[in-house]
Amino acid sequence: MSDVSFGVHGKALLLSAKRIGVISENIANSNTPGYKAKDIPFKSIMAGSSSRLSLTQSSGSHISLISRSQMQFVVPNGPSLDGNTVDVESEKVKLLEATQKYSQALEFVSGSIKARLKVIKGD
Amino acid sequence: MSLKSALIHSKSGMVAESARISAVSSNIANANSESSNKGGAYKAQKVLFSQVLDGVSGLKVLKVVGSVESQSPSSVKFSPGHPMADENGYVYGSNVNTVEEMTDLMSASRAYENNTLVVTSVKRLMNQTLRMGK
Repeated sequence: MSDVSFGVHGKALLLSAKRIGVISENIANSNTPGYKAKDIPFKSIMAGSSSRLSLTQSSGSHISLISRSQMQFVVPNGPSLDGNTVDVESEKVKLLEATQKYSQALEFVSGSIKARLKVIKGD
Repeated sequence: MSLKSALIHSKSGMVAESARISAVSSNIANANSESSNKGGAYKAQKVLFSQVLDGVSGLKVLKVVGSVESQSPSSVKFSPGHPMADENGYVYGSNVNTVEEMTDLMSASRAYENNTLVVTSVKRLMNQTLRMGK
């Protein structure tokens, strides 16, 4: 629905929310032995967003396309001895980036809703 | 909804880190406890956690899977006048390494703080989303 109504901003909103979920998982597992940090490549997914087919997830247990095919492991700067590859500082920067992107996309979607309401109400 | 999954992950992280903090506080509190036999001496507790699939949310979340006793040797002190000394005059202390516990505490509390940071930003985004179009 959002893909049609709000163009690229709806997609950006959903993707940033997904990315925030992945980053929060990395931060939560910063001390878990053997955990490998993950990320969603925002740019390449957005670039291919117009041609890619999407699946509807009606339940939380459904596997999304992003989690299967587009999630990538982060190349570690210096992995620790216990096999954990989370770099908390860079994850925090990524979180900031993703929240900014989310707010930005939300602002655009919100503006689009406001404009439509204006047209409907005629004032 | 991925913002909700961010909250679930942060919550699991905070629960696991606070379990670590409570194990550390128990170890530090018992660092100077003494016993009259080797088996009764306090052993430092170490919390184990790993990612477990949560059936409710369908996510792999961090869970405390148990705790183990530290295998390092207990301290032994020769003090025949001590009321808890055994027949040979030895008193057995804990095997807690206070320096190790303090670094563990710092690591756990920093990780906890990082999770609260995520919760704060996700909360702000959720509030913004609720006001969408107003």
